[in-house]
Amino acid sequence: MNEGDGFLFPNDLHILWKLMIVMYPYVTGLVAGAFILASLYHVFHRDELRPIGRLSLVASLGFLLAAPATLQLHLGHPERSFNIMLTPNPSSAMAMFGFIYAAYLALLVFEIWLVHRVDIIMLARRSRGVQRWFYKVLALGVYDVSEEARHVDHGVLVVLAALGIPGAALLHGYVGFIFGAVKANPWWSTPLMPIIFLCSAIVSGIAMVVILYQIGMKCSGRRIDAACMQSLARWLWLFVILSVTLELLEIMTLAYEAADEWLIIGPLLGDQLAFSFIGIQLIFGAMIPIILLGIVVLMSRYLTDQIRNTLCFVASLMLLVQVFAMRWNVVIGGQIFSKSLRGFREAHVPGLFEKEGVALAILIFVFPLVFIALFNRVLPVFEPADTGNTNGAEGQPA
Amino acid sequence: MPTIQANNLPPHGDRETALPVLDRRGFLKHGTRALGASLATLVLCDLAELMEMAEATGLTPEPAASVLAGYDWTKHRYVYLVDVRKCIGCGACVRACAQENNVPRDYFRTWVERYEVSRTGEVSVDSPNGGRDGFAPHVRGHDVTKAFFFPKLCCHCTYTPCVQLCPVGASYRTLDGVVLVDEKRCIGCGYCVQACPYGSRFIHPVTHTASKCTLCYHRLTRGLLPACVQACPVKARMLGDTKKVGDEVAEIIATQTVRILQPELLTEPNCYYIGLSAEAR
Amino acid sequence: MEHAKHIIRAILLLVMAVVVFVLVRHFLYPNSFGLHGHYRFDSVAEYASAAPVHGDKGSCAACHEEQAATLTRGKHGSVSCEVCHAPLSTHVQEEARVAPMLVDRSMQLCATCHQKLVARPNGFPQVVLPDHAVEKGAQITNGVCQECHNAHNPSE
Repeated sequence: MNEGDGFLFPNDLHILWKLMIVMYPYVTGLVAGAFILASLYHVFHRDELRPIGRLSLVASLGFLLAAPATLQLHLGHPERSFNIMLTPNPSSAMAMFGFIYAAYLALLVFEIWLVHRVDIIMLARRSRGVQRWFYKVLALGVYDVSEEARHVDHGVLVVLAALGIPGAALLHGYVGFIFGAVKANPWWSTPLMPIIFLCSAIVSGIAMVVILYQIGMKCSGRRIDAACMQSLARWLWLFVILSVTLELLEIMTLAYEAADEWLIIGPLLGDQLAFSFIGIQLIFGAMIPIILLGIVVLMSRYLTDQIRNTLCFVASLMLLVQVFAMRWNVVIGGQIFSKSLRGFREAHVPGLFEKEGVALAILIFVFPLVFIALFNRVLPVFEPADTGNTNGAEGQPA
Repeated sequence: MPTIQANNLPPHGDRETALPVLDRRGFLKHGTRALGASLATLVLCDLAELMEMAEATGLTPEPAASVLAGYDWTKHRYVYLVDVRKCIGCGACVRACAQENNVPRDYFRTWVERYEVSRTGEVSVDSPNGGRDGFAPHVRGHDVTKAFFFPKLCCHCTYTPCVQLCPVGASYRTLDGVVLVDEKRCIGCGYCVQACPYGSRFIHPVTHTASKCTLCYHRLTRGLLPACVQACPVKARMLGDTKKVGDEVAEIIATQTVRILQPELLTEPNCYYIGLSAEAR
Repeated sequence: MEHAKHIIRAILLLVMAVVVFVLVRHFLYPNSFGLHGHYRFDSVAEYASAAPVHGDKGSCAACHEEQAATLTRGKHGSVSCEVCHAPLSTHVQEEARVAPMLVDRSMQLCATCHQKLVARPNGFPQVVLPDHAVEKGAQITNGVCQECHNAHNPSE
């Protein structure tokens, strides 16, 4: 009974939302973050981000496709998950999932299709056999690449990308709301939750694109665009600072007001989550990347491309870990203390091969990366280089 | 006969590998007809369904026969009263509930907590196996000037956070005030368990659905008392019916000093406590 | 418009997907859902139809009149028979006896209620067991309490 420390309500012994529910906001955060980054280029015309314009969209799609797996692995009855679209409860934030997800998926696929449409048609013309058939289907039987058609494409693209920003914000923001609206849990219940989630989502999205871009360029032997990387570093720095500020603000307010939940949340952060919160989320994952990115942003003219790329890469890796730690601290942290506010249960250690285990989590994380690589074989994910020394866009599909 | 139009096709003379699609005009014509037909059918079917539902719901709830023969759920509104001053911590209620509802070990639809408070306000709380096997005497690290047993169960709130948050409409509140879970619709997401401020819910380890106190609904509809109420040897637990004239429990709630748990959350629980001290949460 | 054919086709595809969804939903929508609220009304009947495990106050008295009378005379009158003996359905189902009634004469059963605990109300009869039995000169065996107390009416 007393597996924990202090007094727990008898039903609170069992932790309910485990690794997969930590993975879900992590993955949808990557989706939203990558999309918002792409919109910086497609809607706000930050032209220095052109090299990652397509990559961000495809990365967003890859993680979007992986997201439902986390939920299905968690549900007690995954075969009934369609109930969420059959009889959604209008007062439940979780019920929005089915429709938001479907709408956002449609929007993203539409946008990626438009961005690649010219390439699809060109590939349809150049290929033979099954591949030709495949590209013709993708083109929806229309082969118009005239100036007017491209103009129409561009117009629709801007509308989609603009609509997609609130769409992506909703897709991840509602997850924050799911936690923020639970009045029974004082660690979760705050109006700041959706915004905190969104800001750290953007951090993870940009960090992921930085990593994918650098790896992609290295693998194809191309040069990493310095202006693009500098811009990415700036946006990343901005959002990390914003994200950490909001996270700390919430805790500072709780500590200052010192209402009865602080009696349990103080020890929660100081003891149970000392390593994952103070160690990883704050020091390793925030303070150090802020310094590294600060060097890139403020001392840009003293840096060679090599140093800039390395600093950004390392900072991005750390930030990916930090955002995961933040999700862990919110989801698991909120369940470590009992609703009695008088005790803690044992720390949760996910198993390796169980339904909500580490192996499956890694698989779910790797799947989008494989997806992007495969997508690149079908349609080019990186813009064709101006110098033309690549095997990218115009090459024969595999 | 649909023909393949020449403009905009790739120039490599590949008619034999061309897609067997209609030309634009044909596609649009047949497509829109099919679309229109299916939409019309759907709208008509759904209209019929909506009309049926409207008839069935109406403004007055449907009468008894559909719940159970001889039981009219519109004639009852249950409330629960616990007199903490009387509870002896025997755990008979927990055992009776477990037997009546086949509750697995380590999971609790109701449980009893023991509070021991010192003069300086130190509070020690325990609930060994939910009180299922009763309580044993033990020594505390501090003097005990005040001690009591505190039975708990689902409060069957009027403004339930659990029903509000259920994504699929599996959690609901009946017209006679009992909060239940549809075990055939529940997807086991666990949101309702997180939402309950009182810790009354759990995910059943066998059915993988949300589970909780049902006020022994199968007994209520037969005119019997919930198992816990019947089992209590000192009558610390009482069931009331606010729609029954002269109901004893309703009278106590209306006239005496009673307490509810976590009132600041405005869940409007329908489980009241008499004699509950301030330390109890 | 002429150069937007591909957009129109894409939108058409989308609309078709929505139509398919509406169709599928139409067939999968559960009966009795939404009749009295956002839930499946049949579920209420499913709950109501489960068979009770315990009986009620009078179930035991129907066959065990003498013990029931003894009980009502004494301090244990408010205690349900099933608390010390097992639930009704382990002994009787559909008015037929299916198994012997459970009788527990151990000191542990009595101790469940009558062991002295700080948290128990002061006016409630409680003693320190097994000291109470030892003081009275009884051996601690199964049925030790019954040497002095009639379980159905403890003062007899």
